[in-house]
Amino acid sequence: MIDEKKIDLGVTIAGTRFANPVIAASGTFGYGGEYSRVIDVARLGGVCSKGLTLAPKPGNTGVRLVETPSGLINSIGLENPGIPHFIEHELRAMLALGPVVIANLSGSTMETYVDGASLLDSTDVPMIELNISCPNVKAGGMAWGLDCDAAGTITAAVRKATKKPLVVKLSPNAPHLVDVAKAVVASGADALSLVNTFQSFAVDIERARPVFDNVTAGLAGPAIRPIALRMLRDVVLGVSECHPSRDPCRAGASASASFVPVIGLGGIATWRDAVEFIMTGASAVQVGTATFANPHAMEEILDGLESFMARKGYSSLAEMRGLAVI
Amino acid sequence: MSDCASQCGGHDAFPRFAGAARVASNREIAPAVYEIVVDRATGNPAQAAASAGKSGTGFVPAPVAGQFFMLRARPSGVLLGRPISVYRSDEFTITFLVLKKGRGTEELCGLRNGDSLDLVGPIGNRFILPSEVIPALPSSPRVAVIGGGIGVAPVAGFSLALPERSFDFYASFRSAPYGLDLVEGRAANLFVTTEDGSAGTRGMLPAVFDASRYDVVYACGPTPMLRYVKQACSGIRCFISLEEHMACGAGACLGCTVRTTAGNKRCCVDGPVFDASEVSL
Repeated sequence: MIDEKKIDLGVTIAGTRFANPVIAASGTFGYGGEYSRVIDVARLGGVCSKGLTLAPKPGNTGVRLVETPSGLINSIGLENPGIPHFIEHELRAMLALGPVVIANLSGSTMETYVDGASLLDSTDVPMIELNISCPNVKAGGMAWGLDCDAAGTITAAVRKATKKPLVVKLSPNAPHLVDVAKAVVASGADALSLVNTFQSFAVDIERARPVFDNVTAGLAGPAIRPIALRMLRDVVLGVSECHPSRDPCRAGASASASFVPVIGLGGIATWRDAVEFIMTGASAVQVGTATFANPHAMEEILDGLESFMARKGYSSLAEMRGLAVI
Repeated sequence: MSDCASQCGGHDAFPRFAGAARVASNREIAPAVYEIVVDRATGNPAQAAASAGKSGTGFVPAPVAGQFFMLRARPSGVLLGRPISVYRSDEFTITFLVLKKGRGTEELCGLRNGDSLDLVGPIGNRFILPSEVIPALPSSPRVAVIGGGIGVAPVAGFSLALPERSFDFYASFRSAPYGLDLVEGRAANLFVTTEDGSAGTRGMLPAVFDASRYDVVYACGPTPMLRYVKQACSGIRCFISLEEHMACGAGACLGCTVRTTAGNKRCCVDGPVFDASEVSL
């Protein structure tokens, strides 16, 4: 029996309103149009672009994908046409899709990140996701996300280059993830997203060689989900010291200013997974590998989420967000 | 996206359907090779008619020769669908030939009549007909169609689009041949090779194939064979259908990138058919 009460799936992150918390993760949804014949892309809360770098990148040579039990290892290597091409040829169509467009900004040196951020700053893109967690490139990428100093430095530099809402996408490979998260927030991140892929390795046993030319590669998919969820919990506890349901934080303006929204991702494939992430403190969720396995995954998550909220009597995401963080 | 639309004469390389379909029949036609026939109508026929054209319901869109689908058994223990070429299709069914190779294909080969499978597609460009090749070929071009192993499926299907007796067909197998029922009687000449000599000429494709006898060549098969075909066909128009590891089958993940003289292409939606002179193998 569905409650008559109106359910609001909307969420505001860093001042940007999302109609619902389901966002297509970077690198898994092209520029949004690729799936438009199969699913109703306009229903999604947001769409992240493929990881973009200042100059075009051809990506990695050799095998790029290996399926594992409930997982997918990828070694794409940030293949992309470059930010100027993105702005000129992809962005307009992407903005027309309807969901909030998030440009995923990647790079190698600090200059490439900063210059890329400046270019994006002059566009209509409503939000930037700073990717300091790509494990598949030789220069830069994840190296910026592994320790506090580097992560803080790159975040501060990009922060200066753009006034857009800035989400920083963290790597689960950082030995001290919560410290990195804190450093990034202290350096001006408006929100966090986590986790990117887990560094992994595969062997071609016929050739007795690594499968991937780039040797190690990033694991995603349901296999990483419980670990991603635990990391989300760690970061939410570490960074969002006041989550909205706790009274002291709701009361004062200074306290609510310290609430940092976290976008959770890592193996989310069903509405139940999305609920777990939201109850662990995620303001929104990103869905990636699940779309490959089932192009309707995000639509099914939206339907299931709404039914669940109706059944449990939650009228907004805020009512269930963080409930399991104890 | 845009360049494919122009290359493919407006036909859609991106999947238009994602959902479940029913297995009409499944039989082993050679050791470890299964012919799986899938009903294009999903759900009950009345519903299908009412919702035709909508994704995930109703009717699986008709593929054109050269296209493929991502297939996964229901239920399945694997994460992703497997890219499988269309062997043939008609108003009511789509037929695939599947080689049992790993877990995903093993599950597919184990499906029984009435079982369900997940299907995403149709995906990819198509084989262009000899009459569409630019610059134009002679008025009666000499056409060779080559299939190696399970790669026989898409080219055998494509040969149905060629006038009877207008082409020679070459099929190379390790052992017992299969997938030639569409070709027998239609090809002007059928050349079969088997590595074990159990049928046709003993050996591999080079034992029977002379590229200089043709104006246009179409091929699908294992990479070493395609490498040979590409080399043998230098100076001849040659189109090859490639296979790569794939995750999305929608041009989104960039896992199946093929390096070409025109830059990176996605095997799934920019291919799987490429001009052999443009790809590095």
